[in-house]
Amino acid sequence: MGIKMIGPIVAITLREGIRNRALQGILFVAALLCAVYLLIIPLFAFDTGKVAVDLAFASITLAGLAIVIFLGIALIARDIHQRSVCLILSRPVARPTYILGKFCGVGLTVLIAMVIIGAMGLLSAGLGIKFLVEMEAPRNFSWCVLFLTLFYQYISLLILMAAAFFFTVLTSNEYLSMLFTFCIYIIGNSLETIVKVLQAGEFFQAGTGYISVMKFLTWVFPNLSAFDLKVFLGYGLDLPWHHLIWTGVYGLFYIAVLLMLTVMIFNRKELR
Amino acid sequence: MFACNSDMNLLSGIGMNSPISIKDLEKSYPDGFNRKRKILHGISLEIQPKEVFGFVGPNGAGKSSTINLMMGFTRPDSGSVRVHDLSPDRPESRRGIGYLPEGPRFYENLTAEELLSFAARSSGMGHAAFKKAVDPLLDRLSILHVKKRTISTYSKGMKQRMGLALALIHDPQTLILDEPMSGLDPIGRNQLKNIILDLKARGKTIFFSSHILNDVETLCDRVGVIDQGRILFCGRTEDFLGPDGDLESKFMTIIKAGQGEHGN
Repeated sequence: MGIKMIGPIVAITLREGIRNRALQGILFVAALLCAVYLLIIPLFAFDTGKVAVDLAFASITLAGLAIVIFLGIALIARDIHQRSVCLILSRPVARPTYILGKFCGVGLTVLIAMVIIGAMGLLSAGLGIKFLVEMEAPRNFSWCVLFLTLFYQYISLLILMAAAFFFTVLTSNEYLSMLFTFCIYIIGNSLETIVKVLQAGEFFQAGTGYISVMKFLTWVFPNLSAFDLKVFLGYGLDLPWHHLIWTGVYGLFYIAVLLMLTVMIFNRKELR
Repeated sequence: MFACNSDMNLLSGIGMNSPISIKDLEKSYPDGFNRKRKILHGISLEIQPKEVFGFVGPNGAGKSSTINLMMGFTRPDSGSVRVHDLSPDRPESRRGIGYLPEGPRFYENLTAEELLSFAARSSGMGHAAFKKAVDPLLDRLSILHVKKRTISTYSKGMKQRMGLALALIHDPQTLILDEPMSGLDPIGRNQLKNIILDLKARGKTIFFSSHILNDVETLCDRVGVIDQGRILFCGRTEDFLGPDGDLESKFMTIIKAGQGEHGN
């Protein structure tokens, strides 16, 4: 019964998400950014293909992050605080089903937004290659690498969204949840680099204990930088398939753990 | 058998076939750091099948807190709640329940039709049955003409009617209505009274909370009066009205007697 109930929850969450003004605003800004790239790219003398990839993915990341923080959190936080969650839980729907349904619904909203922004980015790049003499296609461009880069970007956003759900249910405060989720985004994208710098010891001599603590933290916080494949797309490098498979498994495992923790907390939550 | 005040300890056993049974229910909420405030003090109620039960009390008496426990939104400190012989922790307990919260909140970007479709699907209602039921229900609640408009454009009264439509769409056997008359104009109140009477005639069990005493007189078979988390009266509506039939003075007498008894 529980799994069957997810479908209707996903459907109403998706509808609610897509019609949300915040999403429409974010997509509008992303479209503007895609247009602005065409003005920025001629300023670069070489590697314009790589610049185009970086700028397009910056737009996707920014929009995805904004959707997770402003839409994903708002949808579940309002549900709990304004008690619209009772509309769902007054039906024969279990609380874990609600969390999973909401997660899938917001996840699909993010996916649709990514597809739209990705299409806008591609259109912008296509126009650039056709009309700007300075702009060139990325070296060894591959559609497969492009889609994989987008897919891994999407997984990293899902991890962030799972973290957002966790913090929203844990803190019962929309703004705290936004702050914590943003911190996770910053830490997740920079921790691996920090550990590498510390291990190299070129700029800073850290003790082994300190490095061990930092290494331990890379296991606690999600390593979002592992999902960033832009460099492979921009420079036309071969994808390390072994690394990709394990990164994918790691991402799905991390999402599963965060959702399980969210469900455990939500199961005990009093919805007054 | 009457549902009763737990202080009188008249309940010898929770009936197996009662749609809603509550026994010795206690509930506290956090009140500041490391402190708790008791909301419900060992209340017991037993709602009989096919009856209309009015749960009345002043604001903050514990009506909504009791309903939250019935729906499984909160959990008791002690005592038991059974809905259709199941713990509210189990989602199946809500299969035959229609619930209207106080001041219902919706997904404002959805239309009435979409929300009702969700409600029907999640309650196990088939698509054909939903299509057949939705328009007559909305028509009866006078919101058929706005069924394709998003809820954000609805007035307060329309939202209350929408909440009622969500509670009724799957034709549940038991209805739990928290302040159903709230936000309705006199026409809406009259419509709702007629709907409740119609549901009663069709053998539905209805538990509704209200602080409007006149509703009780016209609709209820039995009445429970709650104040400060204690059941002060529970019995047939005729007994509540008394020989002079003055609801307000009887209500005040019960409340004052309860407050005197519990030192408030």
